[in-house]
Amino acid sequence: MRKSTYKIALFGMISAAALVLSFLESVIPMASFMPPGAKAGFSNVATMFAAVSLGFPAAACVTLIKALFAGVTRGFTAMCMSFCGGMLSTVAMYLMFRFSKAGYMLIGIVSALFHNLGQLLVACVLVGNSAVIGYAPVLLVSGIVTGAVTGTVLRAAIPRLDKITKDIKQGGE
Amino acid sequence: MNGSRRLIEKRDIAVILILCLAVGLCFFLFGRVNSQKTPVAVITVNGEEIKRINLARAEDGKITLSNGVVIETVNHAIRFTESGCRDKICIHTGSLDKVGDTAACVPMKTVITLEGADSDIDILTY
Repeated sequence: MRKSTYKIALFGMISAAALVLSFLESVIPMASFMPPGAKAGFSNVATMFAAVSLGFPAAACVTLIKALFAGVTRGFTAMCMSFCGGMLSTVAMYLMFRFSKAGYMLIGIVSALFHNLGQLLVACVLVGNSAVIGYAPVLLVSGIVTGAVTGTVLRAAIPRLDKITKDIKQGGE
Repeated sequence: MNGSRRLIEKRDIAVILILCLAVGLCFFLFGRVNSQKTPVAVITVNGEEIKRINLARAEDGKITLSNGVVIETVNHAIRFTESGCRDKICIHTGSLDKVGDTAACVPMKTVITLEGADSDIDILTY
């Protein structure tokens, strides 16, 4: 299979997975044990995998698709939150994957924290009031926990994902 | 390519601990503060303060804002009761009663923050 075809196919699959994971989050009742507005961040696993296997431009596009999907299904505010949080998160995770030897758990935690930071910043801008920062402590704590979980999930999935991508690469022959 | 990276490296543990401490520090900087001052609820819409309520002296009441958001004061605490937003995160935040507590409805651009004040003002409307 040509390398470009492989990349396009993989990108499409990762994007679809990201959207499905996003939907999955909304089915699980998170509100009972997480701060209001916090999410489990399952779709971050897909973005992280895109950053690792396809590089930054692809990961950024996955983030963009997630944001557009949020915009269509949940409205303008959700789109802004998703985009800003997601881009900050994607940049941070890519830099860590590329330039550091940190383990998956730490990368998951850092990307979740940056995601939350991005969301807080946009919220302040949208609302016109910096008091939204009051949310920060509780949100960041949940960010550390969910980030650790998504990092672990990705690490557990890597062997299987590597096999799938290998199969795709060889699929054209 | 991917097999060489582990779940946790030794150095990661130190970094994670530092992050936890940093976030814990945020609690003191931005979050709930053990304050002796009376909590004054400040309601802001689109960056403009529209109401100030001294919760210690507030009676139970309902406020309907121009954007349709309904805020209630019950038992010296304040909360969002109704909002036209999709996710209702503001409502799920629950009651605010301590200095530093915050609830926000981003789609409706409405924020309630509890500031500490020694003031004698009961209610201020602009």
